[in-house]
Amino acid sequence: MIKLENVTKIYKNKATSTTALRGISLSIERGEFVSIVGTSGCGKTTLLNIIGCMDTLTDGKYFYDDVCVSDLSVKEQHEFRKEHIGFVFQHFELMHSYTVYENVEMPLLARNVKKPDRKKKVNSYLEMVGILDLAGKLPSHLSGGQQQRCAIARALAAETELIIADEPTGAIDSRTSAGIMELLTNLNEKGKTVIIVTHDINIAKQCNRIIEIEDGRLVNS
Amino acid sequence: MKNRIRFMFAWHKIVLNFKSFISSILVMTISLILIAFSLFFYHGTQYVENQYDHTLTKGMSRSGIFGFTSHPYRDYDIMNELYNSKEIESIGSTTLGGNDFECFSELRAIQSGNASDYVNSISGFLEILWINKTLLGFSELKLDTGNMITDQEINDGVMYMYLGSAYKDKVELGTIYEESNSKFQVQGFLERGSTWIDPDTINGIYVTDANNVLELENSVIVADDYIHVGGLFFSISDGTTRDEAVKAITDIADKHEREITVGFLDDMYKSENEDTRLLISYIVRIMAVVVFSSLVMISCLQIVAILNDRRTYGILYSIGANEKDIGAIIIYENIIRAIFSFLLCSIGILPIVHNWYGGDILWSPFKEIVLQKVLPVVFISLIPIAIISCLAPLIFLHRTTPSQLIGGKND
Repeated sequence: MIKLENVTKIYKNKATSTTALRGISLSIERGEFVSIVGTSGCGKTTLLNIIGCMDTLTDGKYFYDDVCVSDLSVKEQHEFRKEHIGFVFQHFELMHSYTVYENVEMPLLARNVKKPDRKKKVNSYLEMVGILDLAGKLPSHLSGGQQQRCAIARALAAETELIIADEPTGAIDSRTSAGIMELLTNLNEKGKTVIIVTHDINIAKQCNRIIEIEDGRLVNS
Repeated sequence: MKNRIRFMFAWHKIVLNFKSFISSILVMTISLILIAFSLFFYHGTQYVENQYDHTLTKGMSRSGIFGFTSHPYRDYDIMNELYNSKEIESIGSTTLGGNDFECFSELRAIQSGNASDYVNSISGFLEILWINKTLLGFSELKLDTGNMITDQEINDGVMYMYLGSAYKDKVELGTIYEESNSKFQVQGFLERGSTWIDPDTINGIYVTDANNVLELENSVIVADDYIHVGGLFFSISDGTTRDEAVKAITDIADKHEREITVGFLDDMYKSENEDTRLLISYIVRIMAVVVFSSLVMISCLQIVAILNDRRTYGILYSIGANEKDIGAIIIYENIIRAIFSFLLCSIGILPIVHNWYGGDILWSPFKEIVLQKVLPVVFISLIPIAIISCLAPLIFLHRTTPSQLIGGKND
């Protein structure tokens, strides 16, 4: 499903350049539940952003099935992301001025889903993550765990086969983290390919496969 | 993403960032008012010139005034001689005056009944527009019925009257009014829309004077031979140059040992309004600078707004929006700004018109200048302002990855 060949990412500014990824090559199959682990600053979020087309690579190739994603134009990458990838961010990244319902509805609006279908889907995703009763609330009125569930529901609403989660338990307590991981595991069991980034090895062990990165290099896949 | 959804996002962003929206509205509105102000100045002067040119048979460049330096004694001779010369088409004086003759009670009742439309109505008097017979061709006075007599010979002491279209169904053609050895006969009714130059023009033509032309709906014109004021209007014949006309006038004046001054209306207008016209030419040039500056300022404000709100755009990308969606949201925001600014500018221009012409906003210049000339141009100029000021923000978003917009750590 996903194949990275010798992927390198260098961040340049006027004074310095920083190599975040050094020749990463790996592949991820459809239906896997993968965690990418490493210490802070090792390049795991950068790798996730490249897989999710939220950032560009400096060198190497990125394939998704038969498509060379790294060769797509910016416009094509937006469309690719829309079709294939759902995101969950560490700090939830919900729209604070919209309700839970409206946040989950957004990917469906971006995909021109009709109103009756939208309502049905939003409610089903909210129910799936266990926060249907919070639909009318603003994110600021939710706990960390509830906000992360909302973010997961929003990613589900994108109806993509791949879900990418950057430190999904990073901003919440351990008890709530367990609930979130259970949710992600369920999604994987239902056929979603899930890739998470975490610095917590205990969280990583709950996945089927662990990819270790150290100083921008692949240590263990 | 549908346009309705894009618009909804744009509107919601405006509501959330209301202070920023107000700042940009103020910048845009001030710029538009300055543009409208410049256009109004320009068209305001053109309005005065157009009024005269539409009314005068020969236009401003071939019509003029010559003034006597002493009381008009024996000036009938000069007037008749000039009228008979090939260089001069029409010549004479004109004035507005009130008349309280009892015989005019019928006409007075009709005129005062329409007083709200009659700008120069004098209470209790019949307002008469006196025009020398030899000057009737100065403006394109057309009769709906009757006969325009320009023969300078007085006929049985009868003075000919020409009434505005408001009198047509109320007074009979040929009606005679007599009082105090004066005899007036209705010789014709003017066509609807007839106009005559304001007799006050003899004292000067000013860009701030919108009442340069009289509409004659309710007017009573008396054609006579009496020189009312110390100056005569004239127009020159086709085929005669301005220099030839001036020479003819001065030769005749010299022959009668009279000192006169001669000037054409366009020259008078330019010299009397030289400072204003110079100011207007600078203002029009400044307008171009204003448009450019407003583009820069609005672009900067937009870039700042986008930098402050880049996280939102990053999230929109992550949920499936594309560049077209984001671009449309930004453009819709700008369109909303533009509409509000235009409405504020339209209101803001009113005191400018009011102060320029003094007193009440006169409907005719407001409609002709502001509604037909100024606001359409201001509206059209909004389109490039709204679109071009989006370019820098759109380029910024195009060159920034979604992860940079969200601002996550690079680890």
